[in-house]
Amino acid sequence: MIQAQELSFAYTHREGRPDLLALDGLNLEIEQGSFVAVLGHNGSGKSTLAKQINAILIPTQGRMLTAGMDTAREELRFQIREAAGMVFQNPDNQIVATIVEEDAAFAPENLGLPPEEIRRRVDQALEAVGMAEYKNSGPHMLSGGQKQRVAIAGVLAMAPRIIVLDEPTAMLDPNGRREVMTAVRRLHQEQGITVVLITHHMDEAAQAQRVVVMEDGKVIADGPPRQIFSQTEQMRAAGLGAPQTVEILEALNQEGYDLPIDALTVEECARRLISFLEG
Amino acid sequence: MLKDITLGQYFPVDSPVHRLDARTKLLLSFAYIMVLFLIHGPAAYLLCALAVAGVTALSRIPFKMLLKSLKPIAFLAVFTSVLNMLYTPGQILWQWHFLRITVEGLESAAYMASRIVMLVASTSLLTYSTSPVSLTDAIETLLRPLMKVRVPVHEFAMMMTIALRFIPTLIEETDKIMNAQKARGADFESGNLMRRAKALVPVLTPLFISAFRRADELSVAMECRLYRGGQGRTRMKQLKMGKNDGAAFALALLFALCAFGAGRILP
Amino acid sequence: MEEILRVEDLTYLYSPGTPFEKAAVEGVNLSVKQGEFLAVIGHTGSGKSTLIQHFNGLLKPSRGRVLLRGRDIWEDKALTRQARFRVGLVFQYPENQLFEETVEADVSFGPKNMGLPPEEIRRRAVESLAACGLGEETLQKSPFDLSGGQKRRAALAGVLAMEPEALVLDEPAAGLDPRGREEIFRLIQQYHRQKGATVIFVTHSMEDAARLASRIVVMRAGKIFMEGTPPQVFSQAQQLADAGLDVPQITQVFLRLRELGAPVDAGVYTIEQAKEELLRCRREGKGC
Repeated sequence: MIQAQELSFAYTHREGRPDLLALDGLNLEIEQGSFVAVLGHNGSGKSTLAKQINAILIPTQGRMLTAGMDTAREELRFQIREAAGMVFQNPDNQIVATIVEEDAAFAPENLGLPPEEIRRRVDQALEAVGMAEYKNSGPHMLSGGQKQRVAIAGVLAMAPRIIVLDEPTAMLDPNGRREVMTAVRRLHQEQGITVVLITHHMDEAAQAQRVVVMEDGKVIADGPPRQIFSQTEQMRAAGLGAPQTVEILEALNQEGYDLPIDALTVEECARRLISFLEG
Repeated sequence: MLKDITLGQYFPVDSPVHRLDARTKLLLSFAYIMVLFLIHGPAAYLLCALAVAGVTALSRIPFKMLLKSLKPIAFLAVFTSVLNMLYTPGQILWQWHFLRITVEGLESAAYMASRIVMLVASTSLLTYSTSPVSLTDAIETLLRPLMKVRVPVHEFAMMMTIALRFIPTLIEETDKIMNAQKARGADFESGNLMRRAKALVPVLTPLFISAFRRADELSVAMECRLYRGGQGRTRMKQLKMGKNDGAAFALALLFALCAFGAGRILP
Repeated sequence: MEEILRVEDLTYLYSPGTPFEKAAVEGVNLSVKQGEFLAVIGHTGSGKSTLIQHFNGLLKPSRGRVLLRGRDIWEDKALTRQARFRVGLVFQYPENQLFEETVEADVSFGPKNMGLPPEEIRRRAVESLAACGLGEETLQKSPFDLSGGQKRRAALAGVLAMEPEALVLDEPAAGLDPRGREEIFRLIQQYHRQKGATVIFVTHSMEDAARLASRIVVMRAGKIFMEGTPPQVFSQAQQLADAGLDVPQITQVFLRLRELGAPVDAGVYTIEQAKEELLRCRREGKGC
């Protein structure tokens, strides 16, 4: 579905600052219908990668294939963007209209669909993110989490096969983060959309099927969250740390025990600790 | 404080007025304003006031909201009426030095004030009962003939929609920036006008920078959602004229005839 | 320790006298001692941001008083103005509020408004930038040429340059990645230590509050819901969780362990405590 081949990208012409190599010969393949989290700290190149997927940025070297289409081919750009929707960090700067449902209609309107079809898609998209009851509200009356869900609905109404979310929760409070993550999980589970979630929150990445860790424009680790988060040393070196559910098991092991440390949820961790206590 | 601006805000309830086609409402509002400036006599004015009151009742918009929209222009209404009162020649009622109040002055002051109030009330009704998007749509369709002479009608309409969308955001942002600068000792409240204006300069810089950043991000987001101008674009909500719109036009015509008639028949 | 800030029966109403009237903060009493490191925690809309805007006189209480070292800051105009400088307030995303042509000019904005002599302003600009990890070479740069993290630190320097007795921050780490969070909190702790200043910070993160603060105030629906040292607050972890607050993952694990019948202490909020508690429990072995 998404293929990055020896992908490099450099930011140039940066007003008195040196060019910056944000992606450095990156190789990555993402299958259809998967839920992949791309984890990394600021400057690791993860957002640059996101922008490559739907051709906002074009590779300086190498190739990016999105749904089989080469992003460097200008004539395919519209189709690429229809196949891969993008949700950005700041919900305020991606909502176009003054009424929620009219914003959700923006992309299908641009596609030139008949009004009934637009209506159907808008209702479905707002339903899917749990914002149907707010369809007549103004965006400025909504909380951050609600606005971000509207932004997701706006992309969903385009009926893309892939949705890329570039740090969608970075500006939200814990409630907003939970709301958005629930919506993202539902997209993947109920609609089978390929989800690429860019984040620096470990607990969000833990909800994905696969975690790709980036540093200095390269992939430094790639695998199921369970495996990735057990590599605590490597994660700390990448400036990311580990979830507390892993840290506690690791701390006990340092006291001479030998517990499996790959607990990703509170429940899993509690179960392991119960058996630890029972000796 | 900046959040109290209400002019141009949509009040979303379901009513016969809300359901009318935006073009109907736009045209009838224009017509109403024209009538306002053409009529004579108290009976006609009364009729105009009744019309606004009637439509308000029908629209299920609270009268309080309408009054709120009148507050910002209260000063203007009073000011122009006072001018009219003092500078209309005629039968003198009261005089002090160069100030005099005439019967005609009082009359024209009353007319002027009610004209302004009804004008603002009717336009507020229009914006309260019509979502900004349908309103810009209506303007876009009504102005479509101008596209033949290469006026970028769609672009103007899109600009208007986005401006309306970002007004609350930028107002909030201004509040934040001013607060942050007050926290570092900026003083927006004391000193003469010149000093106060100068204190606002540091507010404008971050505001503009943020507005440009927002514009930049929004344009990328719009492209990601397949925007490529007005060509080939369809709309979810088609503007459709129905029976109700016909009835509205008929009622409006009847009202206009009555208003003109009232001016002739009654003194 | 001497009391620096005191809030008495503070109530703040939005849109008073209109049908939209709403109390953002209601009947809050709070005393802050010199040198404290206080965390204010709560949901969006709990009134925590409204509360802290009273500390430097940015908002005027609808009811109640705010005392700075025993004097009501609304007593006279000069005192209200002084409160702005003596209590430094750093807003959320402060980098969005930078405005001057050079970093030096921006950082000097506060000291200039204080009416300090030029040499003193210059000294403070250099010193506060250094305290925020920005060298003299940044002085003449445009703030808009700095990186995101540097911008945030320059904005923090702009408040530190007023050398406030109390530093109040509204979610200083919002939107930062783990490294950025560490960095900004390290700078704040450093200011706290070196100047003996009082620090009050608003956060959504119970983890940050537990890790950094000497005392935690939990706000809920405009009122103080809970208050105390981290051990005191976390001893009521179940109530915190029930109120929908985000308790640390490790605390959640311990709450779950109690539900599963393990006789562990639920008020655990760091990995170290958790380890000790688990080892103790295993040693004693009873009831597990």
